[in-house]
Amino acid sequence: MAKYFLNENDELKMENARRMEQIGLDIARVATEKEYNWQELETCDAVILEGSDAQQLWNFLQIIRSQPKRKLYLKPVFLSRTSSVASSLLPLFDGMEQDISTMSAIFEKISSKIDKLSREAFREKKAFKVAVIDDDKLFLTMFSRIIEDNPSFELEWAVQNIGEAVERLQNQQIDVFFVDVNLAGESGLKLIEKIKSFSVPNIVIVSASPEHALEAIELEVSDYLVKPIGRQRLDQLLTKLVKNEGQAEGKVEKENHILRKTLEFIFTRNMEPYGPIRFLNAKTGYIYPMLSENVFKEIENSALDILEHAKNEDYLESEFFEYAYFCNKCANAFLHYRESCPKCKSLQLQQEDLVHHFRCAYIGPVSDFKNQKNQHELICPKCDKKLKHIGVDYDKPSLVYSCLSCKNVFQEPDVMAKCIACGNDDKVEYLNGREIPSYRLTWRGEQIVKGMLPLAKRENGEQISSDEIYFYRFFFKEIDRKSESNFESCLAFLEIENMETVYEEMGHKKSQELQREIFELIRSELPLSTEINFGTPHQIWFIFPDKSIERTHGYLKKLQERLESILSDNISRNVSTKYRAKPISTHQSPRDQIAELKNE
Amino acid sequence: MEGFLQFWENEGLRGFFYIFWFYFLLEFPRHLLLDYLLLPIIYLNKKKNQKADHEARRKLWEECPLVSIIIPGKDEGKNYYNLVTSLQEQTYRNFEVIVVDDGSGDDTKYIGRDLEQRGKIDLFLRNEVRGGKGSAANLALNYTRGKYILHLDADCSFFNDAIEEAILPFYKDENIGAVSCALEVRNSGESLATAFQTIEYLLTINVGRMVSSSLGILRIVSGAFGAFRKDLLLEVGGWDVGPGLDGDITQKIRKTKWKVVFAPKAVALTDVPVTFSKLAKQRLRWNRSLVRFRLRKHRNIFFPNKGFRFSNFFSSLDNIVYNQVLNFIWWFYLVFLIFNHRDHLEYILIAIFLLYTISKFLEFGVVLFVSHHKYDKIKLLPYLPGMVFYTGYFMRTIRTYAHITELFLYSSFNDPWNPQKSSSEAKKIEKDLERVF
Repeated sequence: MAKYFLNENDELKMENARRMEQIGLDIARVATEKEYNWQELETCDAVILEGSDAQQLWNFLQIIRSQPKRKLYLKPVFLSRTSSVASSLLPLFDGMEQDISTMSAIFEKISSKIDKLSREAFREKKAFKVAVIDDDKLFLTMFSRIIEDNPSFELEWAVQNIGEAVERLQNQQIDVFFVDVNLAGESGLKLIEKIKSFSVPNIVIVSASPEHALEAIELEVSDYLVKPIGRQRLDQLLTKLVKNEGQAEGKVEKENHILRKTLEFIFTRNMEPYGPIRFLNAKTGYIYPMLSENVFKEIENSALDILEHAKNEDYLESEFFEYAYFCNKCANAFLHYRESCPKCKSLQLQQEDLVHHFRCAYIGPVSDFKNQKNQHELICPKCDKKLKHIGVDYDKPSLVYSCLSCKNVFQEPDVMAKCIACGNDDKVEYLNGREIPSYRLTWRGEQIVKGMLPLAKRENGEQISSDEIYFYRFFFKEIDRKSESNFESCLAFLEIENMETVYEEMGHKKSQELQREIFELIRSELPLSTEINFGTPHQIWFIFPDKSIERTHGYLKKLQERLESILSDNISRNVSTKYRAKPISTHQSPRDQIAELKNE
Repeated sequence: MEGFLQFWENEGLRGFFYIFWFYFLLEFPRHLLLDYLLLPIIYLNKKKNQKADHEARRKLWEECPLVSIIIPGKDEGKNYYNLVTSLQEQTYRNFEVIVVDDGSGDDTKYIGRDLEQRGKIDLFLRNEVRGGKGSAANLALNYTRGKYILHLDADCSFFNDAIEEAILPFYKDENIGAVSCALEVRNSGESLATAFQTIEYLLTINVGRMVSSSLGILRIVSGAFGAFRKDLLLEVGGWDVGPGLDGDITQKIRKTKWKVVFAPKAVALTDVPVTFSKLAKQRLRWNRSLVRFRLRKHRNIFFPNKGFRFSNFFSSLDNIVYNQVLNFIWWFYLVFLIFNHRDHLEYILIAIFLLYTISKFLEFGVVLFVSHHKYDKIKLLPYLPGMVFYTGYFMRTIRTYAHITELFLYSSFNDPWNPQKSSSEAKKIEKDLERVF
């Protein structure tokens, strides 16, 4: 059995050591941080640090790691009565991942209440489980080999007929299904509908020709591959699949998993309240045990989102604990606040009192009144009189700042907050403030932990469509339709000037809210048949089917008015919008028509 | 009626002149004859100077100097938005706007700050403690960067070419240091008081200043709308303690080598007091400054010393004689008239009324001749008979009261228009000046 070195600094140390031994650990020595012996430490496989003060443990760890004579790789394992501190320290060490399994092994023994899920949470990203159906035996063999070569794909089965495929689908969950559209006897397109009922998340069509592409897109398949399929094309598909998963189900599922773990953690540790712990090395300044270490450090504040969701679902109840402002770009709470020149953003400012000399009405900065002979004597530059008595012959009604780099004068400097982590410098008005509450498990939360209630899925909001390909396809269709019968359709775009700068200033969260507001406004103002493409934040494209140019202009004018009023409510700077429209022509390609309208 | 005609037939033309000697000897030459004499000269000059005008305008646009607009004031926040909107419509765009909030007690500071953040005001300065309008203007002056300074009141709005026309004179004659601009009444239709003031402004500003400007005796650059060279303002040390600081600074400028002229085409509109009582208060303040500044602070204009100039001498003399001395004499004249003709008093009064009405119509003819938008001015004709009472009695009474209180009580130093702290300090130095001369 491995030897362990335990550092303990309270009176419970012996009891804890006994418990360790009960679960089969060989405790070499129990010592406090002052008592430890380096040589003894070298013979140990791991160090178990125990204590309730995270900062103190951190300091001790620094000592161990900074030992110059260190030959042995020490595996710091943390243990604590609350274990919250211990687990919260874990993400702070780089290259410590391998210790997590050791830790969870120990945890498993100490507390049987933690289930196997804990390991799953930390597991590497899985490969996509792949199935293939194709009646061409030769292709099937070749394609299977290509898939097996790719570590991100795991080929589960490859079959030639539908019957077999359906049977297998019933037994096994598949992530990606490659389907040949031209199956002997039955059309692959019909099969796709069948496959969908088995909730296969990604269906990819394989075909010898692109003829079914449009129908396939309508069936919402993930991709359409034309034979022969090379490795490169497969890699392309893979990126797309990974992206899809990251965006939709995958992220939500992962977060739900973390939430479940957290709820269990709160329940088993009986943490009342489950509160934020002030911690210097956390980006937000606070950590939530078990939760914070399981989200990426870059988006540490998403722990707050997860908890807020849990509160909305009534698993947790919150109590006010702290309020903080975060960097707009990286959600860091460590910010430097300082005044800057509103014109050139310089921080070199000089603050001066204004002096008003009553008898001659001269008023100016105090430096105007300073004289060479005596620094503390004030002499009026207009009437050369000595100022005698503040409040009687002069006063100081106000003060001014002057910028030392651009000579600008002003009374109200911009207060800027610079993020220590990413260097982003924003006006404080644009910072995102947020409550950092402490939580308690509710009855519903307990039911979730006990398995009596299912965890409600956290849902993503409606995605703002910016699918350019779909927009072009719609455009093609509209031209087709128009060439058959005579009616008027219009292409239009609406441009909002400076929008990127505005979004940048507002920060991520607020700009997303505004984007959504704009999106909803446009959806509600325009007829349902309108096709909209939110290409860039400042340019929105429309196709108005069956609308004359006059009506299109009418819609756009109304939309512009409403949009400008929304913008002026949200933004302090002036933003101007403009729109253009023209009837769709049947003689030009969509790309040309779009380019033409843009450059008009 | 019969008696009236009979009475005047008896008196004859000779008697008429004898009775109304005050009008024919003193008022008629200054207010009417001079106007009509100068009118053709001004008109011919204008024709002759068209080329020079054109040349000046070319020079102005070639140089395109930065103009600093300074707007000091207290509790004017509600006017800021209209003001900056009016400024944004200007044909001349190279200007900066500096607004000073002189210790307002209302929302002015929030409005000003907001407009500053939106870039509509270049610099908004707020004094937590009120210091008086002169100090507020000096504060703004301290932070101006332009070659020319436009001093505006926040409650004014401007014709689109007002700034261009206001600084144009500087390019006609390089000896010009200050330009007095035209003020017209915006709320003329609001009450009888504002209608009378509209006519009064047209007579005294549009015509009166044009006449005095061409005679070289212009004595005031309105605080509401005036343009100055910045180097000149620095030379005279900016504004002193008010009230009446616009007349005061013009007087200071007149003592330098620089000229002061009137620019009739640079027009601003302003709101005037709506009620007679408010008007009376305003005019008491204005009239006191005649005593305070012309008779006292700047009386060295009358002394033959180093800076003596006849134009300054006549400028002040004209003001003092016509607005003060004759104002007093008129009361004696009135008493004398009533005493002498107590039997036929009604005939006298009717005749005075008719005489002055005709005079007003003749005076107004000049207004119609020189001003733009003539149709709007014709609409004022029905009010002209009323002007006899307005200028003849109402204004005279106020003027006399103001002069007496200022002469004996120094009331302008107690005017709440200016904070007491600086008024009392100013009183000390201005009294010192009296002792010196």
